[in-house]
Amino acid sequence: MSLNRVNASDIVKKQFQYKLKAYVGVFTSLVVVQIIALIFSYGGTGGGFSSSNGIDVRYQTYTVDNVIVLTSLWALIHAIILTTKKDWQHAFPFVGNSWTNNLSNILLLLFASIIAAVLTVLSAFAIRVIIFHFVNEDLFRSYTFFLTAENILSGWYVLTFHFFFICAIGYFLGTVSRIHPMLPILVPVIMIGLLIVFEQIHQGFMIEIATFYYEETNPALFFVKMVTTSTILFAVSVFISNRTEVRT
Amino acid sequence: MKLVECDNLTKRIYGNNALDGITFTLHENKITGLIGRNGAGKTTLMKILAGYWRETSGTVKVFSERPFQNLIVSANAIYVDDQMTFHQSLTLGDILEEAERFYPNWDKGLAERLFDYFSFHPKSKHDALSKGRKSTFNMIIGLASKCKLTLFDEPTTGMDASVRKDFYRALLKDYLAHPRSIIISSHHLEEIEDVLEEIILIDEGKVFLYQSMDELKEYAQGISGKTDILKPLLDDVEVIYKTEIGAGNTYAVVRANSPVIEQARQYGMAIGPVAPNDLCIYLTAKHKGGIDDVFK
Repeated sequence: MSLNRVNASDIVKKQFQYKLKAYVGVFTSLVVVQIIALIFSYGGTGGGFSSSNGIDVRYQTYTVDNVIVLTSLWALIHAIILTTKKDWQHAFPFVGNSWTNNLSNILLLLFASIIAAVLTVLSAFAIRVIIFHFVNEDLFRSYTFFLTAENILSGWYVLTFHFFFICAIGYFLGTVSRIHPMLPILVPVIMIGLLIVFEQIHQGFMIEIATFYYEETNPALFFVKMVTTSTILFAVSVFISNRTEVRT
Repeated sequence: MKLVECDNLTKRIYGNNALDGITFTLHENKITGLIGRNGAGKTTLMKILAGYWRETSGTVKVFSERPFQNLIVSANAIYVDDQMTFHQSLTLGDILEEAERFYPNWDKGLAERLFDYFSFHPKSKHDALSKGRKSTFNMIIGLASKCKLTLFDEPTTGMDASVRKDFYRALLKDYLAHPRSIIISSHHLEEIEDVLEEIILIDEGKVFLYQSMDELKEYAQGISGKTDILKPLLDDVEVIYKTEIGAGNTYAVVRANSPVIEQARQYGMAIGPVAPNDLCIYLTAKHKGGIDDVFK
């Protein structure tokens, strides 16, 4: 019997297909999360009241912010779950090593981010349809009610990288937590602690970070910032997990 | 071709040497038994050979490659134990389909025939199977993948007697049709001794004995006779095992070339072969008298 030669890219492809099948729950939970978020959005995400010259104006804004926030949470949690010991072991009954397993995980997260971004953009339509039909008020439609092709594309573009970035953070935190049994508790404590300390030392630290990534209006620069940070996080994760043993 | 080469292979786990300088070379196309007591290092050795665990020191080569995280080793070797887990979302049918995509030598016909013979249902979930059924299913994957090196770690855990028998028979038939290297670890040497060609006996992380099955069967002889006559004979020779049976009788196991055997024969004592399973237990016993010593 001769040795079967295999190449890594072929195995990554097979593992990716295997994971699409095995992690079907990632996509069903995405749908559930988005439906829940839409229900939460039904009441409106902001509003106010103003009055002048005897005219009272009460206004209510509807956005898909809830959908974005909850879907980000979904992305974070699934990325962490992928790195847990149990899931890591699930990936090893068949051919593969840490390297191919990491790559196929990242591909899966990228694919999930693309789908999540598509659904989130579509939820912007859904919320409009829901409000239009079910809110019992005469609507004053601002110009943002109508989505242009550019809105849709840029929304999808930004959200894809946003979710992928969140996945990279989750994957990184999950991988770091696997180094020592105490870290799953310590990592969140240290992370939150660091954020508080930085905020105390330098007021507005968190806002500056958010601004750096999310107030970027140049699409190319946004891409560079997001992809570079995600790549660094994934690279460190891959480096750490390639050194760990599998299957206990 | 040398299939497996270990040279002074050591593995430390939490400060203990699970493997302590293992050296052996395994040649192709044999069924080898990996025998040892609990905690002797059988699983550790197999996981290192499969590329799951990293060696601490020494060298280990499988197909002339270092196995840890090696894709070629992963594609040509399969490790089967009762800890094999699959995603909950996959049915047994899905798992077989996926295994077929991953293993180039996958024998679909054999997998399906075994699957039907053991009356599995393709829509069942792996998690929902009982311990013995899980082992049976894992065994199907191990056999049908037809890897150049197949590692079975306690494959019969939880299986009932008839399935065990079927398993060893299936293993032997499949091996004869498609010779390849198979390593089986087990506590039940008496069950697998007919299948094995050679055994590696490991104890406390070291290779204690590496012999063909035939050599092992002739390794030692058992003598039983009156204690007052037998005991003095045993004084100056290497005794593998000695115990008192009944009143005034002693049973002793000595090397087959020991001069005691001839002397015992002259006294008319009963001399007979020692079952390989018993021999392995005697050889690796921590105390010469076994559990009886505890109650003295």
